[in-house]
Amino acid sequence: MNAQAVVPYAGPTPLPAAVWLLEVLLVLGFVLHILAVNGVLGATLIGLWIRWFGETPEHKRLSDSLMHSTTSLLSPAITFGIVPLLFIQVLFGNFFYTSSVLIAWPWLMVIALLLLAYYSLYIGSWWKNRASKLIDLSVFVAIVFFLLIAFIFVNNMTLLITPEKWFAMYAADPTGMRLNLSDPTLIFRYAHMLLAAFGVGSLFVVALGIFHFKKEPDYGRFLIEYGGRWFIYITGLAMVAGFGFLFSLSAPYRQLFLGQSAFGTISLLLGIMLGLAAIFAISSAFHAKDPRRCAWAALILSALGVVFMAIVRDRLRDAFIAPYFHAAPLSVRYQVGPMAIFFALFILGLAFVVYMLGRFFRPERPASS
Amino acid sequence: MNFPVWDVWFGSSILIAIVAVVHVFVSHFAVGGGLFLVLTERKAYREHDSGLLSWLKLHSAFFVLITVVWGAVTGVGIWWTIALISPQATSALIRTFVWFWAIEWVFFAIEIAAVLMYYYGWDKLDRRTHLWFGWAYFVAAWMSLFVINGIVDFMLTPGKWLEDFQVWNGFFNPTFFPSLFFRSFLSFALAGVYALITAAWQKDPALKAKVVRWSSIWVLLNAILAVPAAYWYTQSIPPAVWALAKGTLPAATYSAMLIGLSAFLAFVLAFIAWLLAKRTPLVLSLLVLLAAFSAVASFERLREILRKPYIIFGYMYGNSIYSVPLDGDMGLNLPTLNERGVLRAANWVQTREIHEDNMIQAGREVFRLECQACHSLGGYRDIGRLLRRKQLTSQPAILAILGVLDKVPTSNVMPPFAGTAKEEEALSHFLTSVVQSNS
Ligand code: HEC
Repeated sequence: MNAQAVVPYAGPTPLPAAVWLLEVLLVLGFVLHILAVNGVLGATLIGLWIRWFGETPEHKRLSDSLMHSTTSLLSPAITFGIVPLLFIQVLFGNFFYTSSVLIAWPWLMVIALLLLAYYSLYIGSWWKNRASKLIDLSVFVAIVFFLLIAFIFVNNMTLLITPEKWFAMYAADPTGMRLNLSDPTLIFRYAHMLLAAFGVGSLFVVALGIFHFKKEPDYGRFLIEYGGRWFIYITGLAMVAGFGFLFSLSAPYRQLFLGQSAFGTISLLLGIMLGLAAIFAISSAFHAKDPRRCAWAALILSALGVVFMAIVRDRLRDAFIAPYFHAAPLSVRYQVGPMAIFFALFILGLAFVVYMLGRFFRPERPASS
Repeated sequence: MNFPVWDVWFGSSILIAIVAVVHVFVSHFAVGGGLFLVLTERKAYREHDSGLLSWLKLHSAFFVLITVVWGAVTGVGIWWTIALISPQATSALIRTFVWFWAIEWVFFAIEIAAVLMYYYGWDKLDRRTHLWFGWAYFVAAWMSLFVINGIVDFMLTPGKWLEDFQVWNGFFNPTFFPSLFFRSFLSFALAGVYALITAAWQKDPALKAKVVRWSSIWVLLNAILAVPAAYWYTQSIPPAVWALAKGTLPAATYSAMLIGLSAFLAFVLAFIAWLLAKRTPLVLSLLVLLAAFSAVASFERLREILRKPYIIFGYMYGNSIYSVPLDGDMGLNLPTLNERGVLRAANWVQTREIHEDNMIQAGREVFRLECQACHSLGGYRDIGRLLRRKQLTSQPAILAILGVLDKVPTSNVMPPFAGTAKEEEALSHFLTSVVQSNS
């Protein structure tokens, strides 16, 4: 059975907007999602680490505030996750649904794991007795589940781009009780994604530092330095894993990012350079009198780095699945009205959320209950 | 057949039903509960009742844990599940309504942000601002119901969309408004149902009496209001379809009766809670919850049964075959498949040619392609059990029924068999082997 023939047709329903627009939204949604996910990973991992190994009162204080913020980070992570989930289905549904079916049970497990991890984080955040071992246990469980979820995601995303494996997999077992473990890039991709996520996530601590610096410069500086150190070390490891990933790709795909495609090469290069620049910025913050400017720079540079890495990821997928696009073109029928309403509501909604945050964080007044 | 069929041994249709029901039961609460929070908070301020207020704080923690976590994650879970079980239909829904999903997402995001600030704002914000966050939550939650409602109703009553494929016609479809009213009242009633649980927990008798009374009134009042909305809803469904629930299809009729019965039971139990007030035991609250759950589950089931044999009414059958030819359907429609054969058209089969000696194997694949969306081998709606119940145990008898699938057990429950005579024969051999092997 040739792979070309098993890739499902896109179906008769036209796309509701041009491919480029949907793809921009896909990448944008992914970036927002992954930034929030990074925050969750950073907060839980560092939070638990210093709960176990932290010695100073500052450590303890940081651990507690991280534990309290995990759930409020997970909410946007899930909410933003819906965006790429939506647009990947619109654009690449025929690939995405198929690879999901092939690993259906682990894929469905993601929901159960997420539910349990979420409740575990709420235990970690809300449990009254802050010394309780239950907090350690539940946050640990949440972390393990997050790592599993990420592993299942990487399985699906690598399977999605390798249709040549699909038919044999389905013929061997249509019950979806398996994973895609044979992919040579899998382990590098997983390691790279996780480390990068953790690295960027440790900047959440830096962000807390910026926030605290005005009132408590010492604590603020501690946070910026502590989070910054994690960021430097872990991002360094992520880069190593990233090169591993690049070299685990077969030559034609690797070459895309090593000169053959200008867009791919420049995106990757920018991604790496922005990461290095962020490292440089944060280490300058260590010595600066007011570390906030450099810390801000590190945050912005690394967020931009994530944008370019997301573009690299997007290019890689498109290159893999390009041979499998059927002759039947994706027809486009713009839904102008609904689209305009969405964009208008999106802007208003964003403004509204910002307004809400402003109202919420306004200088405190005495509670009136 | 365009997509691989996920083989779920206990039946994929029951899996989707489970995920859908546990989500719907909570997601409606998430809407109505928002109104309940703000109105109760306002009541507490007006009556200077600090006891009521402290109960409400507790209740709002419960609300966050139920809606923000369970509601949001199972909502994603529904997508996950339908995409695994009916990718073809999911793709059609997503492509048709992507901007509507995106609009819904905006409200969802506001909803989540607002409820978290509402909860964490109890001791931080002044009363007016705090209430304002509650209202922001409720309005956003109701708007997200407004949008999803259109897409969900579309599947049962696509209305004029079937003629012109205009998305607005699909969205504001014939059951949009009756269903919106029905779901709104349902959600307000559920707010009371859930509140009865945290209410029954209260120790202070005076406070408990007050909260139980207030919560049960939410249930009673909204259950009454839901009745005319439900009636309007039934009147907006095509009469031939509604006939299934009125007797022609036992399973549908049974679900319809169960809705009425459970809702009535929930009403009566809530009334008893109102009478008992401070003596209301937690068990009673749980019974109200159970009855309400049964009503919601039966409602979802009825909707699902009424939609049969379709997954998108008049457009795509439950087994992902288009009922009429469409531009770009790649021949995956009933008339074309009858000519060409499903084994030839499908992407994911190993047997394409049928001979004397591979009948059963080919029949197995036809079964997976055409029947497994609704039937299973040994699980839910088990095909062996159904055949035996009808005493169809010989191959000729089974072959005969395959010719009239769209007319048994009553008209319009199953799609007609799609494929060539040879494939029909192969399927009959496979089904015979199933019946005979486990009889
Ligand atoms: C859209 C869903 C759906 C599909 C697809 C479907 N069925 Fe059914 N089938 C049903 C329902 C619902 C019933 C009624 C079950 C009951 O009475 O409990 C049923 C009943 C039956 C019965 C019993 C009929 C009777 O008179 O009691 C047989 C036999 C049957 N199906 C065979 C098949 C075969 C063979 C296929 C595949 C070609 C198939 N079905 C595809 C939904 C479906």
